[in-house]
Amino acid sequence: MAQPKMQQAVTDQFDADRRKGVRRTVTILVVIVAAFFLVSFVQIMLMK
Amino acid sequence: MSHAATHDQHDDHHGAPKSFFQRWCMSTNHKDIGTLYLVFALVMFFIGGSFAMLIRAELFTPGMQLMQPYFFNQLTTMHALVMIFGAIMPAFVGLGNWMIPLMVGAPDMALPRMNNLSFWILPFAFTLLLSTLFMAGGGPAGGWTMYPPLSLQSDSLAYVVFAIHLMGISSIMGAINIIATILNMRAPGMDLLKMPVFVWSWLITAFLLIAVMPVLAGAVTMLLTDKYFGTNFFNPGGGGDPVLFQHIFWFFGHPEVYIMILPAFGIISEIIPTFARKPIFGYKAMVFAIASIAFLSFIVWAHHMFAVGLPMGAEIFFMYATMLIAVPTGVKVFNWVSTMWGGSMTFETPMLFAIAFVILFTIGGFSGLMLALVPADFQYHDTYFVVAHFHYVLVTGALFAIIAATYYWLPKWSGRMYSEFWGKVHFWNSVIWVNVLFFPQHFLGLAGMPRRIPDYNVAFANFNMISSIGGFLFGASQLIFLGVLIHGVWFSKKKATDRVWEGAKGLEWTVPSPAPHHTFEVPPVIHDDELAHGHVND
Amino acid sequence: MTSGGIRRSFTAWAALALALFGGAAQANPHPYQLNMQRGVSTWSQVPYDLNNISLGVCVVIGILVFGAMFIAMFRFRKSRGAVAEKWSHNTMLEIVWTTVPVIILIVLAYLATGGITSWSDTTGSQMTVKVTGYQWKWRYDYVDYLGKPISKVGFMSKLDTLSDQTRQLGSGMDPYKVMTGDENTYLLNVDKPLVVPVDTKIRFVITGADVIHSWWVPALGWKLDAIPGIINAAWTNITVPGTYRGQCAELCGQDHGFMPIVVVAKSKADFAKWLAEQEAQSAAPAAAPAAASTAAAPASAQTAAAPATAK
Repeated sequence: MAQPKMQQAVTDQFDADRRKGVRRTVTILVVIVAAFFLVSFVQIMLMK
Repeated sequence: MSHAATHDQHDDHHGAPKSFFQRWCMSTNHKDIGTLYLVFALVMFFIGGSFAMLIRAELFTPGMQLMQPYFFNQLTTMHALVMIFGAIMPAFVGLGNWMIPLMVGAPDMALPRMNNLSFWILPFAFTLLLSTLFMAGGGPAGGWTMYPPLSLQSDSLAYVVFAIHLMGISSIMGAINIIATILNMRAPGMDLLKMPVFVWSWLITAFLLIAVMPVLAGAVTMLLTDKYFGTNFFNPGGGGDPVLFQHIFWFFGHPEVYIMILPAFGIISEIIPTFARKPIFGYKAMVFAIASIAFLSFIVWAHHMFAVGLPMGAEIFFMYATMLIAVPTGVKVFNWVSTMWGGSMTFETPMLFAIAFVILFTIGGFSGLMLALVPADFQYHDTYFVVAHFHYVLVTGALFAIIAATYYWLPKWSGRMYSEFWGKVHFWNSVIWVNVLFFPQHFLGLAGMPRRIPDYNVAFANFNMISSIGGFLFGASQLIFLGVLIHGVWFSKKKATDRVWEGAKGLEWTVPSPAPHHTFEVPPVIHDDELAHGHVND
Repeated sequence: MTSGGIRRSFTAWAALALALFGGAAQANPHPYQLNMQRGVSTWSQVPYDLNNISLGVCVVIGILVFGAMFIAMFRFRKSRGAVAEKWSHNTMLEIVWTTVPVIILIVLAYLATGGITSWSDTTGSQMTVKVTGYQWKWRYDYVDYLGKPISKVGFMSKLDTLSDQTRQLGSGMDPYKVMTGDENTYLLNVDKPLVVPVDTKIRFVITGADVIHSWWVPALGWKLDAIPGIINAAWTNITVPGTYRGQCAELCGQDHGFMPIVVVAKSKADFAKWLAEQEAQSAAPAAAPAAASTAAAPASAQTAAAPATAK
């Protein structure tokens, strides 16, 4: 292999998978953020 | 080559847009946004630094010479807020923006438009925050920790709270973006355990950000409603509890300090192998150590509160948990030293800063261990010993890592080599004066000088003067840094090669210098030999 | 080296040793003080010892780690022709440097846990003093002594006038001239100190009236926050009579740096005499109520202090 291939083939499927993955990751993370924000209030209420 | 690589990238496909406004204000390019973050952090570094100069000037000799005590309190508060949220954190986000896509072979961040938004929130947040200094009631003066009831006495509380909300939103969006990028945008073949340690450290840091920034937002929101809407979360007169704020705040605050140091660990773990020309010792141990530190950071928060009168069981638990952190941190230090052992080292400026980081951060870690011991902490707490401790880990830790990273990657960013001579001048001045600045503060704290005081007994005079002299010269040394940067970005005649450093490994060194506006629009083929950590067996 | 040289170097080392490990003789801060003081209470030795032991551990580890680094930096330089090796793993070493720190930490944790346990035990006290933090002064109320309740002995304690005038911006006064005897007491002196007996287990109940303060006298070995709405408890048993100075240790507003604490420890006999005087003084105005009950304690503070003084 004198000249290694420098780039990979990109398919529509690859691109769609990426987008789906990003969407799923963002959804989960946003839920975590919202949960932690609300939990800080709940904790204060409970401890009082 | 395949056809569908560039679906959505019909605009500015071959280079940066020409107009200044379009290029910088409307940018969705990770490199340009990274640059914006870094420039912003540099500006804030000098603003926060000027506050520090004023503080050290007032503390130069006993007696009040320059300012009223209330203004002094505003300076200490603003210095902390600006340095933490304005300088250190944006600098790391900027480095992450620039380097993560390059290091994992991604064309850009996963969410480029949100990336633009998370940066452009910051200038507005800091305008809001800094504007309070020019208002009738003055800026916040209750410390960056904003403990009620004191912080509720401030007229500028609402400004500070909104500024912190904005910074928090910016950080959360930045963190979401980084996680989404690392988890989804890696080039095929770039397995998680082949990623650079810097990318790993940012992945873990981003999770910390996601978990704790909302908690800070909750805490400051409660401050706001306590002051303006008659709630009594923290007001003892209405049945509230001021200590609860401290619990919530430090549940954010302790992971926050690791947010400011974990990416630094990542940077150092890239630089030392490069200049030792030897693979990093114990790659998996390094990643695992970062993850353990991140986990432990959630169960140690009350070690900031040993003097509030916690129950004995709580003090013992938090002491043990805190001491545990020394183990993974020690593993990291030992691994860096072992990486150097048996290497073939050269000492360019990034390596010098990295070595100084390892030594001086470790000194900060030592004082951290001492602070963890509750009975000793009863003496150390809220003294200059603590000030010395956290400046060792934040200035010679986080800041030195940022400076090291800047020297390390600047040739890749600008395509020009910075001046090695002036870089070394900057290094030696920084490393000497920073120690003159902070080391005597250990003695001041042990002798009994509380922190956050504008004036002191004459017994503390000698070391305060030494510390101030170190401070002024350390501050002045950073002007050399500014000069080296300006020269290295625009004026240096020496072009950088693609590889830049002889021992450099990793995808970011396979693209030209300066890195073109768009890189890896088509994923690169991953060859394990070219990666810094391609062959991991341990 | 001449004998004079030896003597001089010995003196220098002795001075350094004194500065590092200076004992009870130096209960208040002094110029070029390098280490924590030993303190003057039965417990204050605990943080002092922990400080020295943990510092020693850190110095030894530091010498080993930094020593290895510097050896590496000299031996494995490219300019000396060093060729990089390939290894990046050594199980034995990794086990050692994970377990050895754990063992050291267990020892330190054991020592510290003992210290916490003894500090937390406020039972069996022979005297109770209530400490209240105000912006920006302290109030002391004597609650009981040797099992007998004390009523109406309480007073405010704030920065002395000379320090207060000197510390004003542009006062033109010299902090070095604020002297009490031959000791500089700039910002470390008060108008009316807290007087306590030696060799007595004193329980302090500490609270705040407005914002959070922190009551700290280094010679006693601890500080404890004075928090509004919360009453914290701590104890001390001073062994050496003397005057011990401290400061507020929690940012509490503009004059946070100007609310010192002075504790005067007297022998039991002297203290009994002092207490009798104070009780007589507070009884006298009671006979003529309109006269000067405000002199000893402002009315507002009296009310604020009421709940804890009761029972």
